[in-house]
Amino acid sequence: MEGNTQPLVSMRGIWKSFPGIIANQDVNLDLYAGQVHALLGENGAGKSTLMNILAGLYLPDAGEILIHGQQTAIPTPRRAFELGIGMVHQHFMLVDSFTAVENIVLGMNGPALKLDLRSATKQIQSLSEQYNLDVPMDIPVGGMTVGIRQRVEILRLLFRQTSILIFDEPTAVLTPQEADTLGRIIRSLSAEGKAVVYITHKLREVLEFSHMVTVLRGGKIVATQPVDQVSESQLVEMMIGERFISPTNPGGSESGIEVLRLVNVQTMNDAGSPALREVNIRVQKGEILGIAGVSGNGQMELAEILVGLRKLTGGEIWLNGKNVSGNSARQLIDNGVAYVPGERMRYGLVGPMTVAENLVIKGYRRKEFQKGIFLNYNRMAYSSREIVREHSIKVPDEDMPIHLLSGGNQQKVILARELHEPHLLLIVENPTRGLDVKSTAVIHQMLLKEREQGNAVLLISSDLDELLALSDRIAVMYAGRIVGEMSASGTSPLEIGNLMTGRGSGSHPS
Amino acid sequence: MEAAPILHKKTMTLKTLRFKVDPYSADRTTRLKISGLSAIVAILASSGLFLLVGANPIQAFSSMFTGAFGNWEYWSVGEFYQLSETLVKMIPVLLTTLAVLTAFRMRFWNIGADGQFAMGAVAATGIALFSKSWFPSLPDWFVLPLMFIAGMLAGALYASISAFLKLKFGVNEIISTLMLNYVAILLAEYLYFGPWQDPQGMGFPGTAQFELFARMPRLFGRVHPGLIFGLVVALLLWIWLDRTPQGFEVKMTGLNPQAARYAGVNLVRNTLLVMLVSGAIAGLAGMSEVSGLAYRLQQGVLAGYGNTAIIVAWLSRLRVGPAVIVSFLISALLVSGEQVQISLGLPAAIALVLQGLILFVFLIGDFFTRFRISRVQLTTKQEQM
Repeated sequence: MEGNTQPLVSMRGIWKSFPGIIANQDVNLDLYAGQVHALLGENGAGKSTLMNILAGLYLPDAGEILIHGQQTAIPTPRRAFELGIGMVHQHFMLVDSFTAVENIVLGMNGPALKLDLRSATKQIQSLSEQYNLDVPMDIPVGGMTVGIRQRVEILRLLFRQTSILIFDEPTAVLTPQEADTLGRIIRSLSAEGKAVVYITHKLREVLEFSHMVTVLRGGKIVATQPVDQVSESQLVEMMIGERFISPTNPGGSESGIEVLRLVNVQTMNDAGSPALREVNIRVQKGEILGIAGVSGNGQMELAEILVGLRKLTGGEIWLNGKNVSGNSARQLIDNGVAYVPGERMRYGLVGPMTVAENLVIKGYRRKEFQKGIFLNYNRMAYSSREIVREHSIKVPDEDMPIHLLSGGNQQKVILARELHEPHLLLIVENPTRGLDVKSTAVIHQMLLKEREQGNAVLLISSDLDELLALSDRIAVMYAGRIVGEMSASGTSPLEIGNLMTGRGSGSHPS
Repeated sequence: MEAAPILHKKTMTLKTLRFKVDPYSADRTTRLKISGLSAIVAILASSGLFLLVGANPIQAFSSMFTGAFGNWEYWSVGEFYQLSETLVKMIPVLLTTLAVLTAFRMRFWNIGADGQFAMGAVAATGIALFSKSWFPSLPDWFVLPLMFIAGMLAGALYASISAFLKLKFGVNEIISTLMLNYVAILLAEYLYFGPWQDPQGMGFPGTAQFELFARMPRLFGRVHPGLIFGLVVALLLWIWLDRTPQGFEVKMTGLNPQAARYAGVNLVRNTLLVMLVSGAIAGLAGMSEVSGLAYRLQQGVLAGYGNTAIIVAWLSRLRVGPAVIVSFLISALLVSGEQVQISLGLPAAIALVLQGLILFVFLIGDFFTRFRISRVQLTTKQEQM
C-alpha cells in the first residue's frame, strides 16, 4: 500500500447518538484501496453504527465523509451504492419471498420497465462459480439456511462491483473451513484493489484476514494499527479494557442420571422433507451436550421438537423418565423444558410488549402471578424489577417496548426469564451469536452454573470455540443425522469441522 | 482591506434537510398534548371548510354542539333530547367497536362486524316474529332473553366461519369477513323484501313491527337497554382482556404469535374463542337495534357501523376505556353532522366531509404518538479558491 497515500474513504469526526446512548464519538477512519481493514470491538462499541453511516443507512449527527478526497454526503443506501459502497449485514437484508437472483437485482439501476433476469442470472452464476458461493438461484431465499442467505448477500455485492465492501461479522454462522474460504475471497478482493472493511470480534480473523485494525470501545477509537504490529493479547486488552479469562468446563461429570433421551427421532422441515433422521441423543443431569453443525442441518428442527413447536414423525422423546413424545409446548414447559431460541425477535420476545411483560410471557400462568381469576400485575412488575436488577439488564424504563432495547439486553431478558422458570433441561441455540466478549462470558458463566446446579443443558451452537469451551460431550449434526459424538476434551476443531461438512471423521463418509 | 480581491475564498454551505422517523412510545403528557393539538387543528380545518361553503364557523360549531348535546335553553326546561339521540347512536357504535377491538387485540382482522351485526339482527327478528307461532305456550317474558341469546349466538357462529377458514385452510380473515358481510346483508334484505315482509306494509321493505313482548323498554328518550349492554360488555371485556391470564395470552398472540406458541399458548383455542366473543358482541348490537330501536328489521337498520367501529378501535388504541369515550364522541359527531344539514341548510355531503376531516386529523395525531420525527441537518461545506 506504499505510494497509495490518498485514502479511498475518509471518515472524520463522526458523531452519532441514539436515544440514551452515544454510538460514535469523534470517530476517524481511513480506508485504502487494496487493504482489508478490520473493525474490532465489543457489541455496542459502535462498529456497526459507523459502517451503517458509511452505507447510507444512518446519517451522522456531525462529521464528514470524504470519498477520493471529496466531501460527500451519503444520505441513502442508494447513494452509497452509487459511490461503490456495499455492505453484508449481520441481519440479512433480503426479501424472503424473492429468489436469490431477484434479491441480487433488487434496487439496481436500469431501465424501469425492462428487467433482464436471464442475463443477470448468467452473470450471477459465473460469479458464484468464481467465488465458490454455491447458491440455488431460483427458489425463494426465505427457505434457505442462514449460511446460504449470507452467500446471497455477498453475491449481491460482487454483482454490483462495489469498490468498498463492508462485512459485518460474516463468519458468525460459518464452519471454520467456510470461514477460511471466505478469508481467501476477502484477500483476493483486496488484491483486486478493493477496500474491505471487516467487522468482527474474532481475533483470529483479524490477524489472518486483515492488514489494518481499528479497535473501538464505547463508541470511541482506541487505536488504529497495522495488524503485523500488534499482538493478540494487546488487541484483547484494547477491546475490553481489562483482562479476561475464558471460562471453561471443568469436565469430569458423570452423574449417570438421564434427563433427556431421544430415540430414533424423526421430523420434517417446513418444506415437507426430512429434517431429522433417526436422531439418538442422551443428556444427563449436570451435563452440557453440545450440538455442532453448520446451521440448517436440522439443529433448528431439533430444538423445535424439544419445545413442542414441531411435530414428530417418528421416534420417542423421554424426559426425566417420562415419554413426552407429542406433548404440546405448554406440557413441555410444565415438564421442565426451558429454551433460549436462536432468533430472539421471532420466538423469544414479543417486540411491542414491555420488558416486564416479556419477563413473564411464560410465567404468567403460575399461581404467584395470579389473584383469583386476575393476573397480579403488581407482583409481575415487582418480580421483573428483581430479575432486571439481578442480571444487571440495562433498561431505561421497564414500560419501554422491548424492541427498543439493544440486542445484548434482549438476549439477557430471554435468558433471565428462562432461568427463572422451574426447569430440568435448558436448550440454548447460538446463545452468544452477535454478542460482545463480556456478555458472552456472562452467558457462558450462566450456562456453566446451570450445569453445576444439576440441570441438563443442550447447547446448539455454530461456534466451535464455544462448544469446545463449554460442553462435556459434543454431537455433530449433518443432514439431519448425528454423524459423530465425542467427549469435548478428546476432540479437535478439525475433527468436528470435518464431520460438520460431511467428510466423516476419516474412514466412512456414510 | 484595500482593493477588493479578485480571487476570494468562497464558502458554500450546502444544507440538506431530511426527516427521520423513529418508533417510540409517547408518555401520557405528550399524548395529551398531541390530542389537544389535534383538536385545535381539527377545529381550524373544519372552520376552513365552513368558510369555503359560505357558513359562519362559529354558528356552525354552536349548532353542531346543540345538535349533539343540546344547550342551556333545552337543559333548563329538563329537555335532553339531543344528548339522548347521541346516546342512541352510541349504542351500535360502541358495541361494534368492542367487537372489532376484541378481534384486533389478537391481530385477527375482523372486518365483518357488519355481517355479524346483520346476522344478530336477523336471528333476533326471527325469534320475535315466529317463536310464538312455533311454541304457542312460550311465556311472553321469555321471548326477549331468547332474542338476546339468538342474536349473540348468530353473530358468534357467523364470525366462527372466518376463524375456522383461517385456522383450517389459512384463508385470510380480512377477505372472508368482508365477503361474508355481503352475504349477511343480502340475506337480511332478501328476508325483509321477501318471506318476512310485513303483509300489511304495503310493499314497505321491512318486517312487521314486533309485538310488545319482543321490544325492549326505553330508558329515556329513545335510549334503550342496549346502552347498558354496551357498558357491561365494555366492563367485562376490560376485565377479560386486560386483567386475566387469558387476556394476556390474547395480547401476546396478537403481537407475536410465534412467541406465544413457544410460550405454550393454544393458538387455535384462543383464536376461536376471540372470534366467538367478537361475533357475539356484534350480534348483540344487531339484536339491540331491532328490539330496542326499530322494533322491526327494515332498510336502514343495517347502517354499516363496522367501518366506524374500526376507526374508533384504532383511535382508542384497542383499549376498552378509551373506546367507550371515543364511541361517545364519534356518535356526537355523527348526530351533529346531521344537525348541520338541517339548521344551516348545508348539503348533506358536508357532514360526511367534516367527519372524514376530523377523523383524519386525529389519526395523524395518533401517528405522532407512535413515531418521533426529527429533522436532521447535514451540512456540507465546499471550499473553493
